[in-house]
Amino acid sequence: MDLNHLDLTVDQIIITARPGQNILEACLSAQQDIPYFCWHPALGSVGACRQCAVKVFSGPEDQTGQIVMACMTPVTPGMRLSIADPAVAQFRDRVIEFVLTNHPHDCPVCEVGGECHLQDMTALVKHDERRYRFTKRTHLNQNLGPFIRHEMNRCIGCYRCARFYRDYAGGRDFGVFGSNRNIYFGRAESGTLESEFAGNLVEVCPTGVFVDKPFSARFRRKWDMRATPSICPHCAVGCNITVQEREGEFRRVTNRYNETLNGYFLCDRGRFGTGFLESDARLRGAKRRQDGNTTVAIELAEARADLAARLNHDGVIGIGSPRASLEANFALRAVVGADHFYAGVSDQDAAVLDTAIRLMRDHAMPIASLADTENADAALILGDDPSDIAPRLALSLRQLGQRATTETLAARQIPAWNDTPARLAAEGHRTPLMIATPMATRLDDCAAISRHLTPNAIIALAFALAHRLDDTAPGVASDDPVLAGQIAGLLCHAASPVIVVGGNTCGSALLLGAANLVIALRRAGSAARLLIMLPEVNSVGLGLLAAKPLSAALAAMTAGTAKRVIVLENDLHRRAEVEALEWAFATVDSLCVLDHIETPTTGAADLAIGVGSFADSDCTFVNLEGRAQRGFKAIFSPAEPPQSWQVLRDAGLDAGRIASGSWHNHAALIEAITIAIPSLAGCTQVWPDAPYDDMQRPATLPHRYSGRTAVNADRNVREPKPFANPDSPLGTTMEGAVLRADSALVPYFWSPGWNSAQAVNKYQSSIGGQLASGGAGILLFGGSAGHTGYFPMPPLVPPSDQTVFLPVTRVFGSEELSALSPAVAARMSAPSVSLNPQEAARLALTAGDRVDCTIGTTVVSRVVSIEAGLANGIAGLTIGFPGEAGLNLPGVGDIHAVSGDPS
Amino acid sequence: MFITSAIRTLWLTFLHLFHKTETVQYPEQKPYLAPRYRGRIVLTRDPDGEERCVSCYLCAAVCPVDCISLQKTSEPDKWTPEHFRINFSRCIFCGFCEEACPTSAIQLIPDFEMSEFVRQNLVYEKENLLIAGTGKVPDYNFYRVAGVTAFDKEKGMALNEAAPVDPRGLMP
Repeated sequence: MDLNHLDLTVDQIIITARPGQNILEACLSAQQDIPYFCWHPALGSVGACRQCAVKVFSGPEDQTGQIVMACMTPVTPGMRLSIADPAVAQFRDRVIEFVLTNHPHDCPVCEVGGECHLQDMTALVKHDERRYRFTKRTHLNQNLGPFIRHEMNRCIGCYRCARFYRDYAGGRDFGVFGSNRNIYFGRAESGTLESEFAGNLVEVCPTGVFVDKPFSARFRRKWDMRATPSICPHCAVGCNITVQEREGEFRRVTNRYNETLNGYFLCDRGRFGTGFLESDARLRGAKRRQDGNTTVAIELAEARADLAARLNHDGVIGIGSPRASLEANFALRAVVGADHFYAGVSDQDAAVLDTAIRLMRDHAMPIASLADTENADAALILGDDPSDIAPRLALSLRQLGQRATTETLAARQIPAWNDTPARLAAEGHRTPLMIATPMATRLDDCAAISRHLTPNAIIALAFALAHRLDDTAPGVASDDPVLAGQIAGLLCHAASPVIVVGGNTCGSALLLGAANLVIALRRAGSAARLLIMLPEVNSVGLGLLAAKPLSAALAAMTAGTAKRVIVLENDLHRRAEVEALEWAFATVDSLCVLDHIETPTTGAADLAIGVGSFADSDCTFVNLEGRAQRGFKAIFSPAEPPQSWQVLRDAGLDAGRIASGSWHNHAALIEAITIAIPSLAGCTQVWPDAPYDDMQRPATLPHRYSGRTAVNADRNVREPKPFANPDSPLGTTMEGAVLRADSALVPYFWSPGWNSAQAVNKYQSSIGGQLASGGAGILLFGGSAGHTGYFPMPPLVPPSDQTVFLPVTRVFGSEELSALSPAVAARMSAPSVSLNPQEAARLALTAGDRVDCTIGTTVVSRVVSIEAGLANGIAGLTIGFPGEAGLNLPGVGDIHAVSGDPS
Repeated sequence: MFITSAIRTLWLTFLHLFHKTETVQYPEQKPYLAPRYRGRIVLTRDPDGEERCVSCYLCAAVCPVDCISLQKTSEPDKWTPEHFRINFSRCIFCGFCEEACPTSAIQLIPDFEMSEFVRQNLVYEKENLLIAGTGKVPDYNFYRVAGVTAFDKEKGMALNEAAPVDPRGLMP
């Protein structure tokens, strides 16, 4: 007997299920539709809404059967059940009739209309007549901040929002009030939702209670927007997103399911940060400095010729960027020459990135995906708080920290999908999540061990743990043997632990310590894996191009060997100290900047060319696991900006710097990349090549896309030629291959009768499993080893008498692009410096005081915040906020109160 | 056989001499058009004189020739179109838009005299489409029925609505 499969009979049809599934999952996996509301594949079952009723028969002779909730009933071998049975069909009809008694007459003015799970389920049940003739209950709405609008009248009381926000995402400021018919989901009082995952309420809510506020202001129905698969550009996780566009204007970002990375959820920075595309800060067109401080707008062709002329000299260097695509960075590298290409990141970032690349590529460290992290049986976070650097990773780690151990669930015979008992079982038996960071993290509440130590102590701890597990690992004495013993004990007990490490505050030494720990654990027989938190979307891709850091470029500029500089999609003011940068800019003959936003660097440029953002380009990014993923050109308009690599190619061809005929299309460029950099060979398989025949390309415009003959009619009644993108395997019109679940290319999830985000059920091999189409990106590094040698412990930074400033990134504000989105800008807090209470008392400071922090030659102004967990002598300094200059952090310096300004 | 059928035909043709004349002297003489005739499209107002269109996009979605284009304003509560455009050079006067309209805003009226020498002049914007009255549906006012707040209408003031719930109340 096959233990991994069992057969069920559903209305005379035999379907195959996996043991441990519930009936609802099994039926939906087998394309047998059962309506549901409260169940969600990631949130599990609670059996609250009573909508998924089916009839189960006890044996072949049983003709009566009994009604059960499909989401709460595990499948058993040979089970016979009915969805279509008249009694159970009537039961479901009555349930949805009750659900709809209070639902308002709002669909035409509801943003969710047309992609509403409630509409879909009503149609599935075939409920079409309203018999209720009494008054509807109403609710007052709350202002939930810049991301979410609240329309409580529409609530059907399924509890999904509260379960997601409180139980899944760990939020505390949102919940359920009242009882019975008066039930109210909201905050204790009006105010911004604190969780950085609040945006998921839009997709979690089966109807329109929570609405995407920025999208509502530029609203379109789902069927009216071009939907293109893309990669979120706001952190190194590289979550899969769908970018939706109409009339050349960005409209919104929705989650695109990827079982190994983001699953069903995105963070708010990803969901609302992409609003930068429509901000005033976009650099459009090209401009050239005339004389002194005046710039004039020039045509793109002229800008290209100008760029070519500037390339036609010696001493040209290029500075790449971790937020630019692999294509753009490689094009610049090829045009200026590999020796003259610099990475455009600070020394600290470059050192961390270099170590990360060595560990992943050269030492083939086994790397965990986000799904691996979520499903691991222990995790240790070292160095940085993932909540602010890679928020989606923090959500995965939270699931681990909140979940009961597998043994506990097995011992009590609780299936993992049975949400309430599984959550109760977790009390006292949680999967161990351990944290050692300099500052408090937002995961501390679900951690088994959470300690806030100095960077040196964290590095020592990592090496000490490795030594404790394996005597041959280089040893150091841990400052806290008890803590090391506890952590080592929990890690040893786990079969597949994950070590999550970040080098922002502790530097590359900590990465080596974490690698030693993974090697030691693997030698002890566990399937331990590593995950390195890196700062930006294409950090790894840039790292693989093996370029020298920005300081080397500035040195070459100051020394006079670099006369002409081309900066690619990078604001150097964020990455270097102002003084050094301005001195270098003043020495060079010409500074050209290609970017899609206006920055201080484009302001200083002699020639600034507005190029396409990630949404205007076909672009490949390599995420923190070394997963190459491709996003496609999502926004089409007559005045669209050129793609960076095309500008560089054209200029390079004119200047004779690349062979004629190079990179005639995107596929040729990718091929050139894989030839030049063998470790990027996997990039060719990320997506299939563009088919020759247009009709084989799946259409990115939905089949009910409206207004084609009227949209441009105010300018010209004759319809323009449709847009084309020959580089993309996706079609740009309404015509093309039919959406199919098994197709390798699925631009968006929709299925007949399933208009909401839940249509993804139809595209998965089984519920919550992988997409039938695949397409989850290509891992560039096949991590396998445990046989690599240990790394020696690097010398630690000696303690200093002055205050040590550690960089603190904030989920809203520290990332350059998202900070330009008006919604995210409204959510940013003031840049702050955090101190522990003793340190604050020593400096006679209280929370809210304004201070100047001097680091090296730079002075920055901050507001004091008091944080109990910090070590003495350490201050956390927020970095990366808009308009702020680069700082060499970690670094030492002083804090001075700004006198006369108590505010 | 041939002879009988020929004679019958001649006879029937002859009888037409005594039938009523069907020719209409258009344009001097206007034909009768029923109120439900599907001619030029207008946007009507509700009984309070406000625009009825709530910018729900259903007319655009149902239009088989895709000749309707509109965009909702950024106003969160009361939805209205920022622009509303019909390209009458594409319109086939099928009336699907009128059927789809949940607020009776878009209506087809008995007027077919829309000939133009320049095709561009057949593109009608909202100011060309909007009329002063309620058209064929005199009473319906969508926002008085819907659950959202709009104009002076607060929560609980729409048709068949109870006063807003106090979520902190202890009574079930």
